[in-house]
This record gives sequence, C-alpha cells and structure tokens, in this order.
Amino acid sequence: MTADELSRLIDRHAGALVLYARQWTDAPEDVVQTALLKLVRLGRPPENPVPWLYTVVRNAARDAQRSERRRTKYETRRAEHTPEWFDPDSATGLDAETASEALAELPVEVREIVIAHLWGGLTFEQIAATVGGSASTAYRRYVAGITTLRASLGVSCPTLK
Amino acid sequence: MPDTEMNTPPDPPPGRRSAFEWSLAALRPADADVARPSFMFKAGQESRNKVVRFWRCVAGGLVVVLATGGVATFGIVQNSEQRVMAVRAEIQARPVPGVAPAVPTTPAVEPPPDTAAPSSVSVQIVTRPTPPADVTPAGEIAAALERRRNILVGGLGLIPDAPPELPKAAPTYPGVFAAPRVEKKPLPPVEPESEDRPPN
Repeated sequence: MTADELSRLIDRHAGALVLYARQWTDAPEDVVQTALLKLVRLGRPPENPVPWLYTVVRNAARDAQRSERRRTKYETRRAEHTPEWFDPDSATGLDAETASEALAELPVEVREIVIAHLWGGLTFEQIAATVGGSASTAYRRYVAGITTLRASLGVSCPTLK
Repeated sequence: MPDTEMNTPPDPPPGRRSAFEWSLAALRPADADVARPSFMFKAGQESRNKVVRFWRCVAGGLVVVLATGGVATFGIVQNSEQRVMAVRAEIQARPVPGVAPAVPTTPAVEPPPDTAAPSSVSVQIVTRPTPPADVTPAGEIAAALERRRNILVGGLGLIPDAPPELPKAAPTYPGVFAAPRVEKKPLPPVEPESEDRPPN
C-alpha cells in the first residue's frame, strides 16, 4: 500500500472508524491507528480494505473494552462527559450533541450497525460479515435503530421506503 | 426456513434513504485525533521493516545454503584423502642344509613415516627372494643323480618306461563336452547277512 492510498483512506474513513470504535473504548484513535498499521504490515492488502478495517477495529476495540483497567477508566470518563461524536458545525438540521446523546442510548448491537451503514458506508452484507449474523438481521436492527432515533429526536413523518 | 433466504432485503440505494437518514448521515464525525505525521512515519517504518525482513530472510537462507555446501564440501575432501600405511613383514625362507641363503637383489622400499591416524590401511608384505635351488628337496636331487649313475653304468635298459599314453581327446566342437563320458559300473548287490548262516 502506497502512502497516497493510506492518506486517502485516512481522509475518507478515519473519522467514521473512530466513531465506530468509540462504541467500546475510550481510546478509539489508538485502535484505529493500530488497525491502519496492521493494514500496512499486510504483505497482500485485502481487495476491499474498508470492511476489513471495520472488522479489525471492532475486534481491537472490544479487546480494549475487556481490559479491566481501561473499562474503569472509560466508565469514569464517560460519567464525567460524553465526548463529542460529531462535528458541531455539520451542515444539517440536527443538533450534533442531541444526535450524539440519542445515538448513545441505542443498544450497542444496533448502534454499531447504524454507524457502520450511515457513516461507514458499508452494505448490510458487509456489516453482517463484520458483526456476525445475517444481512436481514442487520437490516432489521438498522431499521429499529433509525425508528428509535427518530423518536428520540422528535422527528415525525417516517418516510423510510 | 432461515431468515436469510426469506427476508434478505436488497441494500437500499442512497437515493431511497429518508430525509431523516440523510440528515443523520450529514453529521460529520468528529475529527479523528490521528497525528498524521507521526502515524505516516510509523507506517513508513512498518513498510520498511517489511522489506528489511524480506531481505533478512533471503540473506539468512543464503547463509544457511552456503554453510551447508561448505560443510558438505569439507566432508567430501576429508573422505577423499586416502592414507596408506605400509606394514612391513619379513618372511624368512626355511634354511636348507648345504645351501647358502641368497642375498636379496632389490632392497625393500621403506614407506614414508606417517604420523597422522590412517583412514584406511593397506598391508604390504615384503618377502625376501629366495634362490630357486632351495625349492627342490634334497632327496629328489639325490634320487635323480642315483638314477643317472645307474643308467650310465647299466645301460639304456635301466631307463624307466614311459607313463601310459593318455587317450586322445575326441575333436570337440561347440556344445560338446571335451571330457570323455565315464560309464558308471553298477555296484554288485550286497547280500544281507542272515542270522541262520553258520559262522565261518
């Protein structure tokens, strides 16, 4: 993998990967950097590196969560303040902080699918391969998560087709 | 029936997302706190280490091959050096009364001294040559001289008869044995000894 390819990957996906890793750990940047370095170390990079990166990030973040020391630290920090998940200057009709709080209330198995699909751009097949299970299960969880977010944010008129 | 077969939906294309989903997707994730220069430096190190590891493996393999070849060559050279140790043994001919032992005409070749341990040993027996007169027994010579003296005194009639002439060999050709066929004579039947026979 060349330096340009790596730079492009960071520009396009590092933010979403950090947001994805944040579901489990309080040091998502470290996890993402480690995953990117693993990708560099690979003798033969995968054909589609983005789903591969999500899988590696997910596993590494869950391993980090299992660490008792980190988990305690994470919970302490989490109690102090919720880190900003989104850029507050995003040009959207939703408030970033409110959206972050609504997202944080979702169960993690639903939230990771919503993040991977909306911000990571992964298909449901790719999400199913990453988190395990079937694509239809991933889709059902995604729809349930969107419905919950809509209710939390007070957005009416569901028009999901 | 598994739900993967029944309910697997096609991925909704981006155009079919709801406005709410578009609004959510428009939220930009917070900037990843990735120190780009240091990370790229680490990535470069990793990439370089990969190349270095490859060449280290190649060099290690070459060293192993060369070492194996060197050891094999050294072993072959060591085995090809054949050392000869000569063991000198003198066999003295039995002295014959009345005949003086002859002096050897050619001296025995002395092998060079070898201090190293021999890998193979060949034994060289040096025999001192003895005169041909020693081979003939003294009794036969005496009998021949006696016979000659008798013939000279008594005449030609004392010459012993010639040995019987051997039968002429039949002409041979390929496939036929040259030796004459020997007819075996049947052995006479052995009469069993009867206990009723009176003793002689």
